[in-house]
Amino acid sequence: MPSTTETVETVHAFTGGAYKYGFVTDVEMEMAPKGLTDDTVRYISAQKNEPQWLLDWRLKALALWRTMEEPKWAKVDYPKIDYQELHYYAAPKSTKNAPKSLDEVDPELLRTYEKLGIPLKEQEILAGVAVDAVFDSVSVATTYKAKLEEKGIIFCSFSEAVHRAPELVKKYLGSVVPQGDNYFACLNSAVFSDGSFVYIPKGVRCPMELSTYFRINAQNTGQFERTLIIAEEGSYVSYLEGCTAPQRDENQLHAAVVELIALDDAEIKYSTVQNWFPGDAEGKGGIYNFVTKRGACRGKRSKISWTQVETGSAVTWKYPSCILQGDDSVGEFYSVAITNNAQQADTGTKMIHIGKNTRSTIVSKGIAAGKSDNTYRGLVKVLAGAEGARNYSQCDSLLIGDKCGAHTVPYIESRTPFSTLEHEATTARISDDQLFVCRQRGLSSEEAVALIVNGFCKEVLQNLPMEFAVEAQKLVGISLEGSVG
Amino acid sequence: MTNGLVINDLRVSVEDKEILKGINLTIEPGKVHAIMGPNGSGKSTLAHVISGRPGYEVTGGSVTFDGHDVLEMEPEERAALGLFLAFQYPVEIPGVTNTTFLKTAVNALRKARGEKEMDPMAFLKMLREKAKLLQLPDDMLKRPLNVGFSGGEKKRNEMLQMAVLAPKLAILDETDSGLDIDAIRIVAEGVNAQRSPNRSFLVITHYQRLLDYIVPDVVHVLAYGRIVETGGADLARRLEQTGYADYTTAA
Amino acid sequence: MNLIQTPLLQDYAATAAALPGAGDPRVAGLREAGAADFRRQGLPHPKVEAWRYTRLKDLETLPFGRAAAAEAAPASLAGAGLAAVAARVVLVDGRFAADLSTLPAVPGLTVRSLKDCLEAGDAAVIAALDKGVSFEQAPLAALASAYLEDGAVLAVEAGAAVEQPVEVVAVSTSAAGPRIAFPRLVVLVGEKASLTLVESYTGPAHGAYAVDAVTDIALGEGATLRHYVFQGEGAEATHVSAGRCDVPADARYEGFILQLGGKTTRREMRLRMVGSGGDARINGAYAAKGDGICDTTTEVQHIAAETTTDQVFKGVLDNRARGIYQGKVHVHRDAQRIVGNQLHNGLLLSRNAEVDCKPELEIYADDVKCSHGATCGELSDEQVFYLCSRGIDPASARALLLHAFLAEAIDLISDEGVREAFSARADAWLAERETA
Repeated sequence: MPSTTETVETVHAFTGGAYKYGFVTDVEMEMAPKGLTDDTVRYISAQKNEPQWLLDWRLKALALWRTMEEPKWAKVDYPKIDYQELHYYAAPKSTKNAPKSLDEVDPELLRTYEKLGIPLKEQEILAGVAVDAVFDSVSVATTYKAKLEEKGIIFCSFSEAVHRAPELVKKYLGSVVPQGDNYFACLNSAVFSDGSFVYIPKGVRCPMELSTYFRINAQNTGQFERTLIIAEEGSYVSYLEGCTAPQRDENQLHAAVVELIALDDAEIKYSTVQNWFPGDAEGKGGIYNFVTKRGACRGKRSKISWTQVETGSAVTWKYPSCILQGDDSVGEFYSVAITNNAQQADTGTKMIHIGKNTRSTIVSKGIAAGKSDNTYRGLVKVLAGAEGARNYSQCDSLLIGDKCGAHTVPYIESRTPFSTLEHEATTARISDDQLFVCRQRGLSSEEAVALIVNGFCKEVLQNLPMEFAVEAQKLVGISLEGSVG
Repeated sequence: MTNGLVINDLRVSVEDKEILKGINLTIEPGKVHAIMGPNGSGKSTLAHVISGRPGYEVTGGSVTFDGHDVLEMEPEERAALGLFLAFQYPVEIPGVTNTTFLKTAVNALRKARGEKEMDPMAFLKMLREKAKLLQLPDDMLKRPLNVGFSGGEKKRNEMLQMAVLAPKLAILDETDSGLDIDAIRIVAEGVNAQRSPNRSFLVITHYQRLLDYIVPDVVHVLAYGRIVETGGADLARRLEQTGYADYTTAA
Repeated sequence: MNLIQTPLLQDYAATAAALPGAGDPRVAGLREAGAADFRRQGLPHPKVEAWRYTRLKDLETLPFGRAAAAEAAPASLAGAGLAAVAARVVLVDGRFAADLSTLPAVPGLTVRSLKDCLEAGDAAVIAALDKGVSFEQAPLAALASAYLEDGAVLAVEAGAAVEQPVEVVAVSTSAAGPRIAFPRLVVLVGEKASLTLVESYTGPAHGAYAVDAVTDIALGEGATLRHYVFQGEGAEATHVSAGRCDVPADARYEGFILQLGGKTTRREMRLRMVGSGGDARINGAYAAKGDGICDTTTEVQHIAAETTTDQVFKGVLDNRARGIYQGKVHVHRDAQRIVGNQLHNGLLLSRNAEVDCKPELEIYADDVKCSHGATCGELSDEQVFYLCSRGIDPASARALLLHAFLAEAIDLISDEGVREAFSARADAWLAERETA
């Protein structure tokens, strides 16, 4: 279904085409004092009633972080972040004692999610999607828990998992993204607040889409969620993630870590629609989205598939990756990244081929408009011994207007002759002829751009689950609003 | 108010070079006009200017359709009035299927006219019927717009769009170019099936053979930016014999 | 970041004072700028993005000193093995050797030693050396400028056509202790003039030595330069080079880089498309074996609208060798109607070989057609089988396919004589591999 007409209607319904999710929820917040010290970490850990080993783990990360430097290699430019000026923990007061059921959740929060189009009352939820809602630093509600438990599936907030499945958390936390992996991941390891935890037992096919909805609300707050998904042998799960934040003049930091583990014959499909507040047309405000996402295909014939639609954030620094350890394992990365106005995105993937006959596919569609910069940066690395490895990469860029930049930086490193790596990249624009034929047939120029860009992104968007695909198509149009005269 | 297309002393330049030097033309509803002429005479320019393609400077004259000042309107507003251009070189849009494109266009036009969106199932049914008439296979509806289409398929696809969008005036810009005789026949049948008392056509062509199948009410000869002769269907046949040699010295 | 300690440049102060043109502030300034830049950057290391794949190990560990006047006659002056040349300029350890050169009068062509030009204070030559090209991320080019001493200056006057190749053979001699030479070329091609230039680098088959070459090219509008490089250094050589050329309006640059020798080599070519209608191709082929590291790095800046560049590189890696291709295409804002294409194909012949490829597009204009393609793999079993099924033995079949693989690049050389010579050099490399 073409969403373009509807999209443009939606756009016009906004005040001046502003960010739809820019409202602020007025709830009383429990906040950690500004700044980052060992005590901050102790405070967060105490709030969550964490075991000693986890506190020790966090403190170790903080010590390591202090020795590290912020990475500079990405093609993004932002003022220096003062890490002592942030709050590292913010939680709605009402959830101090975590709600046992949805009935106990602050109605103001439920209304927030309704406004965002994510009703948390189970009867109203899209059939077949279980939702975990994370508000600032804590998870406020998880739906369909009981139904999932019947199958032995654990889907809960990360904080809850620490108590419910401590052995799993202990075994896998940091096993894919080690603390010292990079500056932001290390910071997250010290101060992560909440996130989602998913465990799919052996042989279980998760009967519904699992979804987490992240919302930054409080001011001067960093959001540091941590997500861990473990798919045991022969299991399958499809996980969706959505993100929004209020419209604020200051920049807000979001530094998440996501770790996926797929054992023999397991498959994890991870989809993201990232729509954090991008800042205003002049580049004021917006989220710094510095995220480390990595999946380990540990088992034979396992598969991890990342699909992302990145339309929000002032600055995006994000490379969802696959470590293809198991023989015959498969990694996929499908990405649409749209930047408009003053947004900057440096995003891509890493595919590390270790096992034999491992395969990976990369399809990246970057769209730059306004004065934005959009960079694809990706690494395909085939280690010695990864015989029979195959990679196909395709990176296409579309420029709208002549003030933006689109960049492609692939790194291709091969250490085995018995592998086949192919990389293609193209850069194009929307031609005047394409715009004209659409307009001659009755579409406005905004509708025409939305239609053409959706066509350009089709290969990626069709990988999204149905409900998200429609939403994503609309987002494509909204994000590019005002990009053609 | 005069219904149909009225062009009065239209002058058009491209990069300071005058291409159309005072065109006068009236097409009443239900009529089929043909414009013939040698290469470079300004035939395509006329089609583009009527439909609002950017890149042309109108230096004088007027174009109205059903009394509306067309030159003041955006291309999509002209489309909403019922003006349709069948492109000489149909444009490719990767990733956008024929069906999606047409559905989006139909609904955009309906909205502009204050009508409700079309029911998706009814639309599909209508689309398939029209496609069948033009002997277009179903899979072409699912393929991206004109991507990988043969020349003949592209032109038939333009006819399909015309059938679906049901314009009041359809301008066919050298639709016959690059087509073999069978394809011309299919295109012509598509046009003839749509002739009606309230739909007019402006058929632009270099050759007379298309007019064997789409018999025009009026034939104009355009040379050096001016209409130099107007006649009936027999004028086209005469040109087939004599060619444009008589006009090439006219400027 | 701590700089890598190196004895290089330690003798700079004493040396510079005695170099040609030392009294000329323009020349002294060039050396000073180079020295300052090298001191700031030090030897390149993998933490620097542009050098992430290539480490100049020998330069880091061996006590290299600047090559003094040659102690022994060069072993061979064959260079690229061209059948016929218009002129042959020989540089021994970077210094112009008039007695070894063959310099018949060629209409429109002037050949001089760089030393003479520096001493004479030749404004055009100094301007070409000081073209304002930054030494950023090219510390070895900075080092070469610090030691700016000699080399060759080729000039073709406006409108003249020098079609038969002019070959510059830069040959290193063996000397006691590892020595580094700085062959320097200045190439001036006038408006609407044309030149076919072959740079050949060779040296002793064994023994460590280093070559730090810089070629500065100035083209006039509408000029044509065919610029072919044959790098056939000895097995233990370190070879680093930087070539720079601005391509003005309607000028044509056709480059080809054939790298077959050396232990650690890096050829860099930087082009700036500064005039509309400029057209440039840089193609190349390379082969490396043993522990060889063979790096080809290109950078194309599309500054003016309506400029075209095209690159095709092919590499073959055997044993534990590593091949590197880095290619950057940068389209500046307002440089509309650009075409920029890149292709790299790597072929690994051994399970210990490696190929690293980083093609890069940086685009700030919307009306452009840019693409890059990269493949990496092994010889196709299917093709080998096909040839075998027609009665060819597997070794010959593989040799034939390897020849064909490299030929796809070499065939892009428009000068027939150079094409044949380069093809023969590549075949010799493949034949040697077969017998090894």
